[in-house]
Amino acid sequence: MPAEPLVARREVEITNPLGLHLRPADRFVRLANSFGDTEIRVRYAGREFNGKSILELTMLAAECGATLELIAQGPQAEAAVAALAELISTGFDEEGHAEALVS
Amino acid sequence: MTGTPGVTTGGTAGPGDRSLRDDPAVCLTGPGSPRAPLAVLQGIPVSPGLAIGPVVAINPRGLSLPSLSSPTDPQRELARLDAALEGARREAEAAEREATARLGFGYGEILGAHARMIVDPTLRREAAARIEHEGLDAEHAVYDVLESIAGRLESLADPHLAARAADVRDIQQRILGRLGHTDAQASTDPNGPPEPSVLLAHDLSPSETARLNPGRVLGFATEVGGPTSHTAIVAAGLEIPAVVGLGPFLDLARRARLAIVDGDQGIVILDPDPETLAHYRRVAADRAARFAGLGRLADLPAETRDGVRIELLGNIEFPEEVELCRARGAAGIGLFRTEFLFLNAERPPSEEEQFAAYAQVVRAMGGLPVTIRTLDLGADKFPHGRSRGVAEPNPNLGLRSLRLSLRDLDWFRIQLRAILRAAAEGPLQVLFPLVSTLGEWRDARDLLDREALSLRRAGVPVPADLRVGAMIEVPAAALMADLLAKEVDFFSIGTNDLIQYTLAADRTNESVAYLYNAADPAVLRLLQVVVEAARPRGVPVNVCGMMGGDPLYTSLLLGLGLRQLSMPPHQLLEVKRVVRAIDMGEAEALARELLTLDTADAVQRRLRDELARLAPDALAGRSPDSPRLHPRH
Repeated sequence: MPAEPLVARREVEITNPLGLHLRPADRFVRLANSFGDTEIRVRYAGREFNGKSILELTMLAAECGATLELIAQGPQAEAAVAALAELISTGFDEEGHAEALVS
Repeated sequence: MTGTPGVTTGGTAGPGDRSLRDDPAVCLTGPGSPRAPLAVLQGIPVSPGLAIGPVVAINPRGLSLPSLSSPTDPQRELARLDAALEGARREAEAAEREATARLGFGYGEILGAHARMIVDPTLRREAAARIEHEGLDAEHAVYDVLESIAGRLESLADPHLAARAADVRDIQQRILGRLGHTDAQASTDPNGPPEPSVLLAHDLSPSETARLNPGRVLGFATEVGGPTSHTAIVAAGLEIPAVVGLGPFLDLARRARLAIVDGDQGIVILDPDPETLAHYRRVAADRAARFAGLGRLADLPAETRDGVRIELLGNIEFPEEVELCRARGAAGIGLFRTEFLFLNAERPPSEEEQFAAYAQVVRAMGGLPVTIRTLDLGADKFPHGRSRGVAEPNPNLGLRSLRLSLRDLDWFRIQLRAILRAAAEGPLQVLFPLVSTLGEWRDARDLLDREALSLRRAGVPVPADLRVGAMIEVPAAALMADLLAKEVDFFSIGTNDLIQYTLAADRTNESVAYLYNAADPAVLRLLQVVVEAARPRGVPVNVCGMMGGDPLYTSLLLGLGLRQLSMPPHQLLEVKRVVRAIDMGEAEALARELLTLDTADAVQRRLRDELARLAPDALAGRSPDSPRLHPRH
């Protein structure tokens, strides 16, 4: 049985020029939703948002340079945080290979 | 509406009204913002009467939500919500596939993001909470949640993110559309809410208002709009109680279940408490009883106690209003406005179209006289595709009404020909508005004669005895009435403009509106001048402005010597009742007395006493310090 911790956290900076706009938020949510049993929250500017809600992420209004804290809770917490942090730090792969990011 | 002008209670507004929230705490416990159980809003009354009924709110983008009148079944609403979300998701995904195939992956992905928004867990959770804890139906729950998100996005500084509100509204429409396909389709048509309702909207255009079904729209209230708008005139014509210019209130109103629209006082009450509701039901019942009594007057003569016959005429805007006038025993149409054909059209109406509309009114009146007024455009009324040209610093003193017609001769000739042809269908007389000088009157008259001649030469019948009159609305014309009387067949006094020009006060300008007063002694003197100028030549004088239909002024006008009054159809019976209570000798004494008074206040106090004596309940619903001054052109 893998000894994965039930809660994982990571801070990550948004690097794509337009920030967390619709398509990046969509990719984030699709990736987050692929970790079915794991709850994912995003903390930014003192508030916390549901990482699986595109509506909430859009309202986050995180611009380029903003630092988000990812918090995952559940069986795949560590894997989820790692994958989502990777997505953000690579600028959401804005070139358009979204399929590869969705498991 | 049948027989009870301006009084409409209906829908679920019966004694056992279940739409009221018995427990106000319920609406404070949900996740939405707390809401006062009762809100009283003040606007501008534009169409009298009282409407009590369930609310249908139309948002600024034309989307209407069904009434919240009936209690909802949360389980059923949750099932509808889930079905709609599922259907909307499938729609968005189909749109995504289509966009991807046609435009490429990037475009398709945007619509795919919409699909994710639709199945968003936050949306589902928040909407479900509103259904379960606030008793909302699925439509209102979805609308509320997404409207609040879109509102927050719009307030963001980053324009890219703020523009995201459009995406949210897009899915809002998609989901509401799905809900509509199940059972709320009818409610998205503001002309026909499924049950008699009170319509609340940001604005209604005159043409939208004209399409309203008085059987199903008990009353309406809007955020914008003024007393002289065409929407106001149309509402009064349809006898739908209405209040406009309430300012932003739809966010509040959207969640209301029951609304009272008081078209007399300009008040809108959302979700009234039981005492307030009971009060308004009593007022509505009293009015209904009073108007039922008035109904019996329709066939009785408009005659003073001492047997002087008065002609009570109707003001109309649309051919359809003829019926309202006939049903209330109007002796004819005293003012048929012709702007409606021009204001709602994409292009100027043809001679044939105008002829058809004018002839329809003449024929419908079945031999009773119809006075048709030529175009009164300009100032606040401009048709599509036709701007003022040069912006006028002072449009009320500018190129408007007859002045504009005499400038745009092509339009004017077409209208005159259509009127002349309609005159062959029955007793029609022509009225030129805003005559300022004798020269202007003669220009208009000559033009009419030339068109009549040209028609006759072409073999088209035009009555030889066509009567032509001048509207007296400019003080200059009133002062020259003795000379005008030699050339006109009749006068019609347009008191709204006459008061505005006499007192040099724009009635829509709040800072100076206090000066605009029909009871001002200067106005009384001008009326006297016109009546005295017309008398020796036997020229009939009609009063077709607001004063003519206000019972407060009936004694005064009769006492001054007027024998014709023209008014919105809903005023006909009320004024007839007052006429039948008047003794002409007393009215003449009253007029003499009023002409000696020095302020509008003094005149008004005296008129109020007199009306209280003649018809005690006619003052009911009239607020003590503001006589009804909601003038319309």
